[in-house]
Amino acid sequence: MAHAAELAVLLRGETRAMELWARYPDARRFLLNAAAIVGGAGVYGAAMGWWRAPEQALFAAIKFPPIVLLTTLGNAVLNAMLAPLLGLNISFRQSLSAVLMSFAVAGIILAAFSPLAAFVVWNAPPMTPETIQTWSYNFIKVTHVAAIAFAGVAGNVRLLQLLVEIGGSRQVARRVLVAWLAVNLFLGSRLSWILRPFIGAPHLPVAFVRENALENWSSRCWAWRSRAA
Amino acid sequence: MLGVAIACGLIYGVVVGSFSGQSQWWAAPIKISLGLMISALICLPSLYIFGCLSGSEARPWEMAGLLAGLLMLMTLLLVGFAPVAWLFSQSTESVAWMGALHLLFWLVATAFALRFLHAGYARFHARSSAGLYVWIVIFLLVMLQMTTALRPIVGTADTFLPKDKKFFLDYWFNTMDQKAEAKTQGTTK
Repeated sequence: MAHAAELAVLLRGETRAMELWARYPDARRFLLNAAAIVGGAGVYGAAMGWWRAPEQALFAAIKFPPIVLLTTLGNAVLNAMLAPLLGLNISFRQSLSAVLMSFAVAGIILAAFSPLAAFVVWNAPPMTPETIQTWSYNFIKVTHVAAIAFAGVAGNVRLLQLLVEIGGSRQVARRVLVAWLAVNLFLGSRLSWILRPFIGAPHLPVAFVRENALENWSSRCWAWRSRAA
Repeated sequence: MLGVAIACGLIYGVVVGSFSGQSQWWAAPIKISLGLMISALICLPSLYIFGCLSGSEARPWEMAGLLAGLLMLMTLLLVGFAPVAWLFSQSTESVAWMGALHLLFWLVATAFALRFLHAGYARFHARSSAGLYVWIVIFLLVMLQMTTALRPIVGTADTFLPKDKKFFLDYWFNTMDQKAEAKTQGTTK
């Protein structure tokens, strides 16, 4: 019960308590936040993959949490160096603690949205090459993007409030947050690309990772752009 | 509260099922009660999360209590509408008309139940109601979709549950198109 109460404090954005947790991080709280991320991202991943096949649900449930955890870790390492340069003097442990709290908020929100995502998928026609031409496919994709974006935004709003509390300056907090968001974007999108598929595609087999997993992401983006032109 | 909600859902379901008779006498009450409970279960975690994000101090079981109260009030009001619904179901053969009437009754009942939820939500010191409004939209969409996922509730079918999956707007537009087509063919003949 105490764990659930601590997670509720994060969701409510009680900055005084969060500041103390960030300033004096401990292993139990690290584990609690990591568990919230693994649980939340795991169940949401399962809901995402379920439309393609039950195996895809299992694969997505396994793959989604490491993406978030690795992004958190990468972000904490890089930003422990960047934050002091931007005016916020925090150690690696404090940086990791703050980013973990932010992603824990996102993880809990994803867990709460996973029954809704599963309900949407349960109501969708089976995934076939014909289905992906219909609006159902786009609707499901937009639903997942909206849910993940909402969870991310809510997590970052809480992080901004925490950074303001730690640094005492809104301007510095904003600068640090932008740097953290940039790292999140590049690291998160790259890791998601390598570990694709999550929703899956009807014309491709169910797979843990694609055979061309390490194909260059930017060159693929460039190819799409050229095709569109 | 949940017991009352289930009982009232079953009573209103019997009235809904009286339109088509046969297997709908038992299928409609089960589908209505089950649909309401599943919708509430699906939406409860997000209600709690939106509450917390708005600064509400409610605990999960307190939110569950609020939601159970909402269901109870909604189904009690539906039972209040039941005599009117029964009268209409005995005097018309149009599935679309009866469907629209039940939808109207459900909307009125839900509006009052949501007022109760809003009042209860405010007592938990939520800083803003924006999250609750988003949740209300999600809850309404889930319940509307549930009517399509568990169809037929008013009309009849060979199977207890539908064979194909559809989104509720898709289903409604298809049904209306089919009705319009049938009417046009009837006029040309």
